[in-house]
Amino acid sequence: MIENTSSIDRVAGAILIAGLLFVLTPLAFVVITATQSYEDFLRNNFSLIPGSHFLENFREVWSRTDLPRQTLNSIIVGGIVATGRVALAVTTSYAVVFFTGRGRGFVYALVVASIMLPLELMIITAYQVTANVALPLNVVANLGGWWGALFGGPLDLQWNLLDTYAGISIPLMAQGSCTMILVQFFRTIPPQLARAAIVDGVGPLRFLWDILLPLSKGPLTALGIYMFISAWIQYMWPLVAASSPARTMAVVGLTRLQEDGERIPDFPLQMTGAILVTLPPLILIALFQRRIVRGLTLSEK
Amino acid sequence: MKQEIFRSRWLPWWLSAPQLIVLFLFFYLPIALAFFWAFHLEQPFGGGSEFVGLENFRRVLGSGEFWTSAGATLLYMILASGTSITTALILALAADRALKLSPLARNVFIWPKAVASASIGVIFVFILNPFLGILAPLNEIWPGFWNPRTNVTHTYIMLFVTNVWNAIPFTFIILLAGLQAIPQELHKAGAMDGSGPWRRLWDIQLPLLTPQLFVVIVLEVADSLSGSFGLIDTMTQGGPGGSTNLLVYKIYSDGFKAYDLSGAATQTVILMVLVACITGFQYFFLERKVNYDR
Repeated sequence: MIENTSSIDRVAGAILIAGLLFVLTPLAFVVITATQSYEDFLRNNFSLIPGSHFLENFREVWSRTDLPRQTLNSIIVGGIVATGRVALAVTTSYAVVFFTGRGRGFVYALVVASIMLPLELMIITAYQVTANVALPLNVVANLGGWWGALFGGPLDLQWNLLDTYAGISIPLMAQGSCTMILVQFFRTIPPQLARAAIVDGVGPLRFLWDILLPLSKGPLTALGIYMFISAWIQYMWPLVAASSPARTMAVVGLTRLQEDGERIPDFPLQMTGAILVTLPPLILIALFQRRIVRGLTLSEK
Repeated sequence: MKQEIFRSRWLPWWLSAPQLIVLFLFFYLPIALAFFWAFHLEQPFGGGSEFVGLENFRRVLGSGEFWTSAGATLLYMILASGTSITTALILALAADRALKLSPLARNVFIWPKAVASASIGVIFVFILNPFLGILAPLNEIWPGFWNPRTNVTHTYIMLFVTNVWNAIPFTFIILLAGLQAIPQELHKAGAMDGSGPWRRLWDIQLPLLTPQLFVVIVLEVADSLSGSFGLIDTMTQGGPGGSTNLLVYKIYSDGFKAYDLSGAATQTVILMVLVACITGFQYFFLERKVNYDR
């Protein structure tokens, strides 16, 4: 199309440059500060000139703080949550999209409703449930006292998941957005495919495993990466669910670097920690940007 | 389009059971428990619970601290979602044009998604530190020019700037996808009729973007209520003087620091009802203005 768009293009270009500066400048400050020694920082305060102490700072973070261990925790929890959410979403979406029968709409509504209220809002009672997952069994057993009448005492099972990988991960899976995206994707798969499978005598489970999953590899990987990142950047739930330093996740550990009681916090060390905590998901997102965006906007097209 | 291929009575239930169990335990049960504790009082020393009717609500609604917190929550919700959506919309409109910078911008604008709200909180507390950060030189020239630790307006500006930085990616992705899905023919037809690119921005792009804008508004408003925790906890801890003690942060401190289970649960119920009402309101009143015809 031949048209003079130079005025709007110039404005758009300026906006993009401003946006890039806004996003990148804080990251640049983090990197520059991480290269300075604490003494330099105290002398010069904020500086725009990179120093040469990054490796020293990094070695100190690596040996003196809990961050390496906590980064491993983030990798473990992120992996469990991503695998778990994608697996749960696959089975539920498959049941919702590919089966006839009553209850499909109801199941889907139950799952989608969970998107509106995030875990942060119900943190107190989610903590209570995680502190004793057997709570619903106790409640049902003691309803009207029938358990006590039969066995001479109320049922009081205790199953505490706090401060375990399961207790940190599973509540983070209780959210239906992954299923919603996957249902949209499964609906775009031509129905002839499954019909042909039935004609060939393929059962529903084999169809899922041998045909549908290989076909959905791309979107499933994108979803998995996105869910890994989403779990990695969680803060409030890991803060309350993990009490020991051995189970704390990296983002929570980073915020605790400053509680040293020094008059001026060791910002270079803290920014080095911020790099360690942020780099893994940042690399993932920069590398897989196209795939992730395509996976997320599936429902929009 | 519906698939509905396989017939089986029990298999679909077995397939959805794992997710339903997880949702029951960590979504529906916590909601039910919040309602339970909102109407009960915990006995000291683990002595069970006592039904107290609306007593908890009377106590919570009668405290001035709650209303300060609720007011701050609404203010934060409107301004935080407003500033972040506007910024992301402007960036998406610019990145939608085929410029040399567009591919780079489309990649970099997603990066903040990889940074946790608590991490960027720690980072911006440092960058915007009144004595050590980038604004420190200005503070030396004009003392008191920038002090987010005591000046409430400055505190909120700091929170909004940080929130915008962190919230760009998701909104940007959805809005850009919506813009790219607008058929090229509409642009051509508009150009044939003599409307320039600026005019088409108002008459074609924005009206056709309303479905995505609607989704983004619903999600951002809900997210600003819960997602603010990481910023508040690392940047202000509710201060100065309780001015940024948003409900989600107040519930956390009441429950985990003051051990007031019933009070925290009552406020949880109020906050959940508030979120449900706001979402419902958006569906009833805002969705009517959405243009689904392409």
